[in-house]
Formats: sequence, structure tokens, C-alpha cells
Amino acid sequence: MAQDDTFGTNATFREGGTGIEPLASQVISVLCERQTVTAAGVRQIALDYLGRALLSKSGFDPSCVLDELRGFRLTSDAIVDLYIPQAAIQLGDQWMCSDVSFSDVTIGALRLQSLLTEASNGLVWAGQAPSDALEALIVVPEGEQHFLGASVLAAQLRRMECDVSLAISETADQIMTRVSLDKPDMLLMSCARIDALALVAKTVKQIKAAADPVPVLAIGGPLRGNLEEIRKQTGVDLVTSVATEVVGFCAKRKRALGLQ
Amino acid sequence: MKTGGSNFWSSGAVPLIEPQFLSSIIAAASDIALVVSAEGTILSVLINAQDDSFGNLNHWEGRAVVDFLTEESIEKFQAAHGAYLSGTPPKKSLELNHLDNATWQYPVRYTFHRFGQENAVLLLGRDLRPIAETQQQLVQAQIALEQGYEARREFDTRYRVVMGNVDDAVVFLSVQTGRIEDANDHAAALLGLKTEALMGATFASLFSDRSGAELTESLMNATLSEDADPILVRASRTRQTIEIHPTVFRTAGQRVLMCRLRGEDFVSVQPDTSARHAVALFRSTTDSIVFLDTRGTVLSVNDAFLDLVGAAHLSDVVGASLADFMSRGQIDMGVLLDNAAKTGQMRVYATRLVNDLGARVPVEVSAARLEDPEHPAIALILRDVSRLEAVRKADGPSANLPDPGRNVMDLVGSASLKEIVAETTDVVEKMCIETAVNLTRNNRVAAAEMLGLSRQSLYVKLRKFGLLSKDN
Repeated sequence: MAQDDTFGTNATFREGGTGIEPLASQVISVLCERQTVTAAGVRQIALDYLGRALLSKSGFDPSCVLDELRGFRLTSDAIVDLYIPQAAIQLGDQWMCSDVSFSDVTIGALRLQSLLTEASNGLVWAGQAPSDALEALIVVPEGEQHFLGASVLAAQLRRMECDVSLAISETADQIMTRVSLDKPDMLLMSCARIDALALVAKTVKQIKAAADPVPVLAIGGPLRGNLEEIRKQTGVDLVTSVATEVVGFCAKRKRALGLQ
Repeated sequence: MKTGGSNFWSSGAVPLIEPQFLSSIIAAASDIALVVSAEGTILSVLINAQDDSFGNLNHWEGRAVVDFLTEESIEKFQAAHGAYLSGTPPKKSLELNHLDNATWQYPVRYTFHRFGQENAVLLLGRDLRPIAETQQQLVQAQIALEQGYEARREFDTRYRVVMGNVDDAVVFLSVQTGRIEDANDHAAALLGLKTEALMGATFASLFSDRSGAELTESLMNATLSEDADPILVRASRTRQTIEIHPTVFRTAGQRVLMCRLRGEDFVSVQPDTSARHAVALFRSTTDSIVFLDTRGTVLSVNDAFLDLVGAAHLSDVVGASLADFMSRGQIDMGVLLDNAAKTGQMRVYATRLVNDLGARVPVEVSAARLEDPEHPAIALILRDVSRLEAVRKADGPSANLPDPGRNVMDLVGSASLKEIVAETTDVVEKMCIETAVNLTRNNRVAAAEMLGLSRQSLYVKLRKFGLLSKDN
């Protein structure tokens, strides 16, 4: 399956070798290329394939693309944790270089979202969270158009046996209602724009004033700049895009407070 | 800027355009045009006169372009502008997001063009807001989908919990393909395979005595009538005879069979009619039924017993000693258990049960030993006789006088003298209090005075004997 690259490939065999040696060296060269791993830990050939699939004009079938990616011997975990986020970053970089239009980016992001749903099915539907699981509420603030990061985070937390709810573009009142009724152990806000930090800070203030107990508050996303400054500005406990950090922090705090 | 190799534009056929006309031509040819200096300052903003949706942007002039760009667009513009100034104008069009007054954003696709003024650049822009609006709708639709997935996830979890916890072995089967679409662990155990191995397997291949088409046809026929007999098959791996109870339904355009499987063990332990009736009796009778182990610990009780002792939950009773609920405690227990152990049963035994509030309810108890080598148990049936006592009282003291000799025989040996005297005091107290309350027509002050008790003491005793409800 993986060899049937329906979106074309950069790697091409050069014909014309007279003996077996040119063919063998060509094969070795292609194999080497297939094994190239980027700094982010992804195999470049698989990422290239995914990148072409996202921009393909001939449609996008997430289950076919998932099969192709699995043909590169990638697990669902790796696809969710590495390849989907890296492909999203790659799309953003391509927009910055004017290689793709913003509509390509939006459609590519939605395609990644469908791929994530497909890849998460096997991970999420397998069972329910245990009764003593940590409860996480992921919030994509109003006005944020990107929720792929939040969905990736949800899939990762579910794999860590957390009970996860996702609130996309909900009002502050709706979020407060969720916090007071569900009493989550952690509330993670996904934020892509610095402009949205003021809204985040306002929501954090409301939660701290009204929630009992106050959940662990974290903010994550492609935020740049001084993270400590962002933490102080928003009033959250953590600024991170690593799910395990939040879960570890939350579990430690629960133990320290002797909460069940 | 030639079309088809024509020299039209450079041949002199086109007259020089006056500056005041040029700006309007540029504005008309694009949706928005900016003239930007080498320092990045906006020298001029031209807006298509036919389109007033941009509003008045005159305040942009004289200010830096980056003041009106979103964060990610600033870096992008600076790179392209730098390249332009170094002599390599960007060949690709440049999409930038403009920002004005912090809230107002819109995307524009610009192309870079040399302009007469030294190093200034003319940016001809195409308004992308119509596309952006369509995309917003797409994103909103996706958000709705995501919320749908969340709801589906919740239903799926419930389905998984049900599949994992029901006692039935359940298999979902596609009628069209005859393959298993889902199955629970009980089904896997019955068929001798792991649950994962069942997924996608042909159902008929798991049995040694049926072909695929034949089995599917039998299952479909069995769904036609409500009282159809189950399909009997023999499992290839476990060699068990299995009953299949199919139900057909439609989903997503295809027919699916839900098959409940029952193995030989289930068939052999299936309760007969009288057993089913016994279970129904246990649940619905007004008499209390209690099962004890041989040491008197409560194994199970029915709702009537919970009502009798005023317990809210089974957990308040199960695991406790029944002696805790009997007025004579271990003495009652000893009599009941000894008799049941020696003779296998005991007829009517009169005693009282004590509830949480200390009220004592007269009961008659019969006991039977249940023969089970592995789990021997004692079954008790307790009947509340407080109403019967009331009727006897109403009939007057002369009617149905109890046999004093028999009562004393019942008492002696079942409790110590001290306990019998204490119990007697209780009975006398209760009779006096009831009488005083009746005589005073439920006037507590008068009743307390009549009995020489304080109002508080009377209240405590009313509560102790379960008489509070009577005076309400």
C-alpha cells in the first residue's frame, strides 16, 4: 500500500544502468531517503507524502491516507503525536513562504482534523476512562479558528486514560457552567494568537474566583515569546504544549492536597 | 507586459497617463493598492471607488505598513519587502492579513510592482474576504462536526460499558457478509477466541455444523416470529452446544443481526417456572425474607425486610449479623440457628425486630435450612404481627386470651431473667404511654402529666416505641 503513492513522489528511479550495481545503489539511495528522520523525529518521506495529500486537488480520503501512513510502519500514536502536528507546522511554513494560499491552509487543517479523527478512533473507542481518571476540560477560546491542536491534545490525554471534554468557541458563561458542574481536575486552553491572551486572562480570573476547587490551569499552542511573561499575564499555572507536563503537574498537586 | 509578443505598450501608441488618472486606474484594477516606501511607510492607499467595504483608510498614510498587519503577516511582509529592496521582487503573490483597531481583520493577496519613485513599491491587492467568509462557514461546519463526534464518543462509551458488563454473550453480525462486526468478551469466551480475533471473522466458520448461507438463513427465519425457538449450533473450538437468539435491525442502509449466545452451562442453570416464581415472590411479597449464612450473617434480604428495619440500602444490612436487628440479639439468633441446624426448619417463633430508631416491631419468624454443600444457608421468613396484636387488643382482653403458660415457656430459656424483666418493663411502658396518649386524645402535655413524665421524656419514649407517627 505504501508503495502506491497516489499523490506522486519525488523519488524516481533513473533507468539506464547496464548492470545490477547501478540498480542496487539506486535502491539503497531510495531506502536511505525513506529512512531520513527530521529534527522533529519524523520520517521525511512519510511527512512529504502527507503534505502532498493535504494539498491534493483530487480529494482526500482520511482512511486511505491513514492506511498509506501505516504502510510506512507508523503507529496511530506516532501519527497523532508527531505527523499531524508536524504536517500542520509545515502548512504554516508553506504559507509564510507564499507556497500555498490561506485557503489551502484552512482546507489542509480540516483534512488533518479528519485524519486525526480517523486515527484516534482506534485509540479512543477502545474503552472508557477509569472511574478515578483525571478529568480534563480543553477550551478553544471564542474567536480562535484553529482547533487541531486542541483535538491532538484531547487524543493524547485520552490515551493517558484521562476523561476529556472539548469546548470549542464556547462563551465564558458556558465554560463556567462546565467548570462548576463537571469540576475538572485540569483546564487546558489552546491559543494560537497573542491577541487572544487578554480573553484567556479574563476567563482564568473568572474561574479562580468562582471554581471550588480551582482546576490546574494551563495554556498551550504555538505561542512565541517569553513564556513566563505569558504565564504571569494570563494567571495560569503552566504554559506548555506538552500534555504529559500538565498531567504530571495535576497528579502531583492532587497527591499533595490529598484529593481523591 | 506584452500580450502575444505584441509591442503595443512600448510602441508609443499609448499616451503617457496623467497622474490623477493613473491612481484611479490602479484603484479600479485592484481592490486595494498601497504605495510603500523603502522604509516600509505607506505613502498612499488607493481603494476601488466601486467598493466602500474597506471604509476610510486615509489614516494609514504616513504610518508603517506593519502597524496594520497581524503578527504572522509582519514577518512575512518584511521578508518579501527585504527581497524586493535587494533587487529580487517576489514572484509569488503575497497573502497578508490586515489588522485595524485590533478587532477588524481581512486577508489581501498582494503582488509587488516597481514604482517610479526610488525603491518604493506598488502593492496591488485582491480582497480575499469573500473566500475567507466561505472558509469561516467551513470551519463552523467542522466545529459542529467535532461537537457531533464528542456526543458520539459519549454514546460509544456507554455502548462499550453495556457490552462489557452485561451477562449475555452478544455478537453483531452483518447479514450481507455474514461477518462479525462486534462482539463482547462473554461471546469470545463462549466461542473460544480472543475478542479481537472475532472481529471480521465469518460467523459460520466458528461452528462445525453450519454453512454460511444456511446459518444466516436460519437466523433470519428465527427473527420472523417472536416466540421462535433459538438456533442450536456447535462451537468448533469449545465443542459446546450454543443457543443463538437473533434480533435483526437496520442501520446505515444494511441489515445487522444482534445474536445473544447461550452456552450449555446457561441452559442447565436456566431457572424453571417455580424458581422464577420464587424469585418474583422474594421481590414482591410483603413478608420479609432473609438469607443467612450458618453464623447468622445476612447474605441477602428483600425490600420488605429493608422496610421493616428502616434501612435505606442493602449495604446497611448485608454483611451484618441479623442479631443486630433482633430485640434479644444473639439469644434469638441462637434459637433460630440451632433449631434450623438440628431439625432443618423451625415453625413460628415470636420475637421483635429493632429498627434504627429503637422501635420494636413484633414479628413471627419461620426458618429453614437450605441444603447446599458448598454454600449452606438459612432462610427466614419474618411477618410483621403488630397489626394482628392491635386487632387482638381491639377484641378486648377477654377474647383470644393468650395462653400464659405457653408464653412463659417461650420466654424462659430464650433470655435471661434480667432481660425478660427489662423487656416486660418496655412492654408495660409502651402500653401505658399508648393508653395515656389515647385517653388524652393525643394531647402530649396532658399525657406527660398523667404519666408523671416531662414532655421531653414522653417524646423520647414515643420515639423509642415507634409511636411518633401515631400522634402526627
